[in-house]
Amino acid sequence: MNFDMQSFFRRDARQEWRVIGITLLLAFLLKQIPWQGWALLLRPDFVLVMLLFWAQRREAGISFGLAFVLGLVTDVQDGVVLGQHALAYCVGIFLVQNFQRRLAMFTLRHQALQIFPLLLLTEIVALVAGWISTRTPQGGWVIASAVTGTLLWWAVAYAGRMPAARTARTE
Amino acid sequence: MFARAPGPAIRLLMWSALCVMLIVLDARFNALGWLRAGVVAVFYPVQLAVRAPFDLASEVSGFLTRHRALQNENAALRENSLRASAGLARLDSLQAENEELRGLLALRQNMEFGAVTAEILSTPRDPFSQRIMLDKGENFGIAAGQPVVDGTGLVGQVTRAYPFSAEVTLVTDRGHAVPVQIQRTGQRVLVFGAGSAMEVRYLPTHTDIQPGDVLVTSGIDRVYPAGLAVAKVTRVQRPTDSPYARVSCLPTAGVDKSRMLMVLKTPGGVRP
Repeated sequence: MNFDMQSFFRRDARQEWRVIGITLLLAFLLKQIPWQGWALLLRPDFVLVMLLFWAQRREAGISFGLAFVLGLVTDVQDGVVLGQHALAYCVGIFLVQNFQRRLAMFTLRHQALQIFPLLLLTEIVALVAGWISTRTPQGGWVIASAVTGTLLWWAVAYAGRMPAARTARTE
Repeated sequence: MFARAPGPAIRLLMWSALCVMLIVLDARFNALGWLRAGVVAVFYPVQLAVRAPFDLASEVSGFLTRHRALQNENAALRENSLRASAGLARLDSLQAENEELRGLLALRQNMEFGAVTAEILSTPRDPFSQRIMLDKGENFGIAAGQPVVDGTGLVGQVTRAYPFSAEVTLVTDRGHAVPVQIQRTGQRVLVFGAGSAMEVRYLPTHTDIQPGDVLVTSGIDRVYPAGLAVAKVTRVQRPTDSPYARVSCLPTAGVDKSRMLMVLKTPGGVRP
């Protein structure tokens, strides 16, 4: 832990952004797979989970602009009202950054338990925004994707703790 | 006082205001079509590239289907084809007769229109919104308002056309109404989407309608050509406490089953 804190301020910002870019691109590509049936219902929002992960991990967080643009792309690809997911993503990273220090005090499992309501709240923001703007009934399956999203977050956060990931970040 | 950068809460407020503005512009004024089209065009190649291995996999697994299954399918298709050609012969004579009658009545001929075959590109995240994306768009002459059919009946209507893809709202979408006729009696009714099924609304309880009746498009709205099968009545309830009958139907087309669909290029495409 000590080692991590010291190297925190020495790491190369450019390399970190490269890792962030690659993980976000990967998440985006995963979304493009033609999901069907149950897999579609249970599919976590990969991009949102990655955004929340980096928002918690980077001390400076993720900029609202990035979340906004990624949310806009999600809106277009889902064929929903523009701005719906952009709003939700902005709210999501704001919440995570707000609780960043508090989250850091817990073990990974307890962090995941606290990420779940944040993730759920973010998805609900998108649903409510969509419902208010178009008055069409929205699917209630967000709980399922929030659960799988939390599991994915756990896996990603666990991978981020591996020694390899740590040295890659600190050199 | 303003020397410091605004705090996260203020920045969130600013970005949220921008989002709300976008939502209003898009939902109320429909003013962001160009932005949508641009984003779709940029990511279309990515979508195709990611899909390619999955398409290949399904092709390979299709290639390895057991011989017996293929034989069975072949036999079934043969039988179908026989039946269809018999029906077609009947249809030909009927069409000839119909044309004669139309000529006699000096009615305007139903216009012939082209059709584009398209494949389903993706199903959006929310499976209850009853929408699909097709892999062809304005590049093949698809425009918003055109009806979409499969081999057995009406599937839906194009609601947004992009340069290389198109969004179709299915007939089962809530808020999608189709003017139809009961084929048996000729009465005109409206059928509405209801999630995965459909229902006829505003039908007086004494109306002559029964389970098994087929609903076909009436053609009076100039959106759908007349005579397309839309739905089959599955249940009729006549509640005593309501002036209207409750009629449930199922779409005749394989709305959530077919992969290849056909977009009809009707002349008077009306925006939904």
